[in-house]
Amino acid sequence: MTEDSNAVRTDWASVDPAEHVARSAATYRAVKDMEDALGRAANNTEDYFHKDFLWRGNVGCGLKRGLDEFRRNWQLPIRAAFTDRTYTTERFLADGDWAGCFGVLEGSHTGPFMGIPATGKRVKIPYMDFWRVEDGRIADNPVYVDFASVCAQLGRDVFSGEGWEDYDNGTREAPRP
Amino acid sequence: MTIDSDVIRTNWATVDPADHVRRSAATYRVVKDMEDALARDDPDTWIAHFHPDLVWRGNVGCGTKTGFDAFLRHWVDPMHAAFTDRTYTTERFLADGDWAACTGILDATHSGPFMGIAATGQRVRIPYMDFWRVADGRIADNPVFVDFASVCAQLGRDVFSGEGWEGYDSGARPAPHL
Repeated sequence: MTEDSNAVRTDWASVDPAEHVARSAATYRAVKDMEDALGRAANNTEDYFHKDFLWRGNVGCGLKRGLDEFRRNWQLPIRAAFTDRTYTTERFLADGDWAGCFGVLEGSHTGPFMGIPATGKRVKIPYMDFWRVEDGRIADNPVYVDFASVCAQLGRDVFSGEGWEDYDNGTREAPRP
Repeated sequence: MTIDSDVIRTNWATVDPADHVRRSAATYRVVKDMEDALARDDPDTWIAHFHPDLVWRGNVGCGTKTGFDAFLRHWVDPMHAAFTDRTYTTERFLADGDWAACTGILDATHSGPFMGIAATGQRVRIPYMDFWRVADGRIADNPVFVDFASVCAQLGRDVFSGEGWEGYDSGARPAPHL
């Protein structure tokens, strides 16, 4: 296990509890305010993100360098493909300057997505987000959005029958080392 | 924004700081000990860090493993069959009460078939995110995301058939706007 000592707090004994909770609460507040604003489809994103923040997505979603790219290459295409969006946070964590959550975005598939024309279907889009907050705004945002799940809900298996769900349901035998 | 008040601590003012840090540290310790046992290939210690009725909830392509035995047979075994010489790098680790989370990379050699792609011997980077809920000193719930689409891309297969939104970033395709 390789670990960057900046990335993992190994010495919890040295943490000042009151200061830790105050910082975690401030991080929670910064992310929550951003989520509320995005939930309202507000456009004042610069109040919540650093202009040069990084949105680092999984393969299929891409990497957005800065607020302008995030808006043009993530936010607006999502709004073009999915309307009547509701976000449900399943679990939210805050730890110092970082927060993380996983949740589900529900939307109606009203624009082309991955070459699939609008179906009008409601889809669930699972996601995980990590955020680093600096000076009250988000500076770094590693994220996963399950586009493979969305494709599956729209009838396309991007893994062409090779998904490991088949090990779970007994369709195929799981290989052993 | 729908919020279940049980899942999000909205009122941080009521948190007892000493108790919060103590619980977060204990959660960190359980997950860290599990990860250390995995890294040094100590299966007995590793197994002891999970509840038998663990739920491992993966993204599409990875599946859902209901119970520790299913996790072992339907996730760990096939991973070890496809990828050897594994090293894990934690990019960021969070602990908050009974929950922890991390983002990281598993580096490994593609030495067995993966998604129908025969072994290439190539080193691949497998990005992941994990969330863990610890109950009574063991992991009970484990929502996870493993980027199999990235692994396929590194092995020469574009599962999104040219429709990935990286095309917007590179300028290869215009991003659709309403």
